Amino acid sequence: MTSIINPPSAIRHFSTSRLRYALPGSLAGLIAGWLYAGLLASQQMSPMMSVTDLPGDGVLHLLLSAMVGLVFGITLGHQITTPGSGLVWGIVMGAAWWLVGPLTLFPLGQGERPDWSIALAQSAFPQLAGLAIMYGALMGLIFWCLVGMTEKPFSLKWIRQTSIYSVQAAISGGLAGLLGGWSFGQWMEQVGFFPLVAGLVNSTDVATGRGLHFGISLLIGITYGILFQRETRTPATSIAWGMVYGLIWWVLGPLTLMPWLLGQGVQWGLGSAQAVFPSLIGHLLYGVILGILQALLSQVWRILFVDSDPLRRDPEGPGTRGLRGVLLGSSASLVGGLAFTSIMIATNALPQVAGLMGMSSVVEGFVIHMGISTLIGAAYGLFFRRESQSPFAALAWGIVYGMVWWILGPLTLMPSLLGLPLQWSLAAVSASFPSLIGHLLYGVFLALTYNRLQQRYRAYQLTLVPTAYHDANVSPALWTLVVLCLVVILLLQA
Amino acid sequence: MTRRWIQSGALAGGGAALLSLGLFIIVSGSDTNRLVPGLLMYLGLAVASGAGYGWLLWAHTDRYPFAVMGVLYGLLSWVFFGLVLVPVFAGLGPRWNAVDAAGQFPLLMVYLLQGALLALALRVLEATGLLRLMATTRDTAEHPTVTRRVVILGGGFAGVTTAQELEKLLGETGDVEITLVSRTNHLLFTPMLAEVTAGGVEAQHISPPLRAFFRRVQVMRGEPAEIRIAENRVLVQSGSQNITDLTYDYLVLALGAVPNFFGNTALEQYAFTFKSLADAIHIRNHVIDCLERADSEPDPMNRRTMLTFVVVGAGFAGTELIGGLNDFVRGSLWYYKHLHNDDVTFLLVHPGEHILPELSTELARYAEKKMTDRGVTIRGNARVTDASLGRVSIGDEAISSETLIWTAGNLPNPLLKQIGCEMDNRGAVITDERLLVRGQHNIWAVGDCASIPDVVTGKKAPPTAQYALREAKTLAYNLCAVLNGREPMVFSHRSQGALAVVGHQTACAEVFGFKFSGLFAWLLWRGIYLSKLPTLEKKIRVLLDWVIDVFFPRDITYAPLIEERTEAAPAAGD
Repeated sequence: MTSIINPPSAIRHFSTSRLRYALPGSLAGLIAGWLYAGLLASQQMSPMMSVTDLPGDGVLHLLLSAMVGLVFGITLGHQITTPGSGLVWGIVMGAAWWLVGPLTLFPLGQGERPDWSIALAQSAFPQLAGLAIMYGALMGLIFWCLVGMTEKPFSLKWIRQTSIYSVQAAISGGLAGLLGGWSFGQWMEQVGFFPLVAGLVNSTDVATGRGLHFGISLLIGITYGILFQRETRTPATSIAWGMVYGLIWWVLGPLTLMPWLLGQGVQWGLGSAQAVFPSLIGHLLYGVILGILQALLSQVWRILFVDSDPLRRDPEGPGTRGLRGVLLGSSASLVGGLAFTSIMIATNALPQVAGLMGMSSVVEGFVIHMGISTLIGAAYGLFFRRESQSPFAALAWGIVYGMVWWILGPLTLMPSLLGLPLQWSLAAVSASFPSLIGHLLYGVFLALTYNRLQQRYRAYQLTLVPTAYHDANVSPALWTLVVLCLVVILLLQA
Repeated sequence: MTRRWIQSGALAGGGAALLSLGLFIIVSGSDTNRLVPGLLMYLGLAVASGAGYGWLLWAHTDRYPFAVMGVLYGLLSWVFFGLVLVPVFAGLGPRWNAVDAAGQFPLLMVYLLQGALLALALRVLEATGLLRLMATTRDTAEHPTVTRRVVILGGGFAGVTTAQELEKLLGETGDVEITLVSRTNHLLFTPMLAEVTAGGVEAQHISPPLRAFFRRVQVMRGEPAEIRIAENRVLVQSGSQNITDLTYDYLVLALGAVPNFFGNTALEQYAFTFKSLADAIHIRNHVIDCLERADSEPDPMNRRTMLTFVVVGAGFAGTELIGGLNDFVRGSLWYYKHLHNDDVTFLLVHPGEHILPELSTELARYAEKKMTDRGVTIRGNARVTDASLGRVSIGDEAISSETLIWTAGNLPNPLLKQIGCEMDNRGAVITDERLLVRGQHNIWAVGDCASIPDVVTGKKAPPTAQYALREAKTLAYNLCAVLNGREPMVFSHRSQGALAVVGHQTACAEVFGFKFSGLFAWLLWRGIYLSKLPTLEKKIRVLLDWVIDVFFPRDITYAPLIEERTEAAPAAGD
């Protein structure tokens, strides 16, 4: 009974450690709210942005912003140690506030009953873009600056060290950005998007648009490398980082900066977002490619110049771990592949899969589907072997992996291999929705089975893996934001 | 504790479902009558979902922010239950198209809220210590606290497998200390030992280090000097002076066997043994040395003596060794310009009618024919009776040879004699069918050093690696059972067959009663033994050795055994 009378250590720890983030949290929320209100004012929009058009009230807005910041500081402040973590946790908080504010409290404040319907959520889409990507991201970054300045004052040594790593991160990020931009450019070429981009410099020339596109891709890659240099240590997490960064740039690019520079003002409305929906898939794919390439380039750097040191070398070696990951991943994929098969049978998609090899029967489709699922499973084992340390992490990474392959597979690679245009339009994505469910199921079953198979080696691995890989501070934010991507897609295509 | 988490998860899941649904009804003002029919199913699924959440979470409470975990879990529940399971049970078919999914958006919100509440409830239960208090004595019985020591003597197949399996069975729970005492710091994969002598694979590649196998087992390199069963102690000599005293609660004897010369000291003095990695390397170096010396030897008789190799014993070890050596020596002759194929003699001496007595006569005849065709002379119904420098006696016949290799018999480790347990006529400790040494309550024995009743055949279990592995697995189970107060099981194994390589890409195999020979059997041999070779790294290394062996000639470099010191240049002025 002692543990009930005296608060256990978890509660004591909470009360002493978390409350110190209350002030920087409130301050960050307040500053972000003020900047956000300024942005909205410049666009002749109400600061509250309530669904029910509550008259703008600057004071109430700032009060609410500070309150959200306070909650942010207390609940998530301890997770923020880098600009990257600040950014993603900030966006998570912004999205959560969207659920609580515009979808629940604001209608109640207007004396209406929110039914949480898709129509209500769609009408609140501008608030989602604004609160999550603008207000939330700003709040997270400001919070990091405030806490960073008080807890770890910037020193010359810190600046020197950071600069060295930043140059390396910028180079690898820039290269990855260019390559990702090249693949995104294929779609832009296909739909004649380059002249639109060229419009930013008052031109309609395709070459100018292409040049600008690559310049922007390079810039995004460099900022990605610098912002997330401490987080993007493995290709697995980088996939999620890239996807989230793609989402951010979709809101910042086609919905905000581009129309703004073209003199149209920000376009956060549902209709505008739906109009550039294919570009969302393109940005997500660009992000995935950017993330993977940046991580691989960083990994090559690390293997050649850091891990090659005999004193730091992992006793098992990357070869043993990698091969084991591939074997376990391929084995686990059988379970995931069979789970997915149930949906493919229900939606009669197997003959279409058989078409990849010029065949047409269900059995051939099944064999090809299982073959593909084995390859994808092997890739999961290779990339996610460090991440799948607990069943819950496996579950979350399974969702992420399933979603990535939904974008890569039926929306991109499959039509390309069948000689069809990329299936990024709203209608095509809507038609491919059952496949999304199938990919999510595949990812979850694959990841949980892999986790189970890997159990035997886990205790040993945990002793080997550097602490940074254990750091679970940011992963949950990434998972949540991948879910946010799903919600955005659902809202746009409904 | 797992069970408690699952139960608490189920409880919290039900509560969270009621709360979130209630909140939804209050906030949205939905018509409750419309929701009642599905309420029971919704609650049932919420309880199941909560139980699943508890199971997923139980060992990882502090790692992630609970709200995020709950929201993610809510999304997944929406997909599983809202879009697939519930509509299917309701006879509507899965709602995984975009329009239906959009229609389920309010349910998504409910599920997200429910997930967050479920996670919050469990976190509160855990943080306040209530979850721990709810644990019953039944929970503690799941992982009893055991403070006992298991000592395993012997680092061969039997000992290492026992330790590995025991470690696996005990998992990360319990407080059992396991110590493995081994003479070497590696496990020797004996089926490929002949390939080391023949230069097909590198010595290190078939001997993975013991420490790479284990996480909790402590490996001690040393030799048991004395076993005091009355005091539950073992004295282990780990250096010339260093004696370590190990106490145990359970002792496993897996000491293996040593070569048996049947008391013939001349044979013991002049014959090479073939049991260890060092033996294999010694033989290989000796054979290369014979080739080098013979190449510059002008006397044809002496040259023949140097190039006559006698192997005694035609079991798996002897047959595979002579087959491999024959290929190695004859394949290397092109390096030695003064040597000819006719100068080389390989003689396999055995007391039986046919070689490979473990296989059927049909396969043994096939093996004999293949080996004879490749230049091996087989002398059956014969025994090597004496040996001296450059001479081997087979009955009354004397053969000039500098190489005699002994694989004709083994005896259980002589150390067993001192412990005072009951033994059979070979000197192996007798165990019951549960592998417990007869007359002892805490000493178990497996492998070549044990005489174990085979309940399948009614005879004694044969001293082969295949049986040793199965015995070890049974023993690990039994030790775990005894540690947890359960009944040990009876050892039972039906032989799966045997395989032997008799020369280049030729083997004989008898698997589950089916007989194979030639290239297919050889591929089978390689596939099976490669899969059984421990550690992935060693598998790849051996596979690479085999690939290299196809494309390049055999390496005739001496394998270094003793550190060679380079002579310094003479001082100036000398």
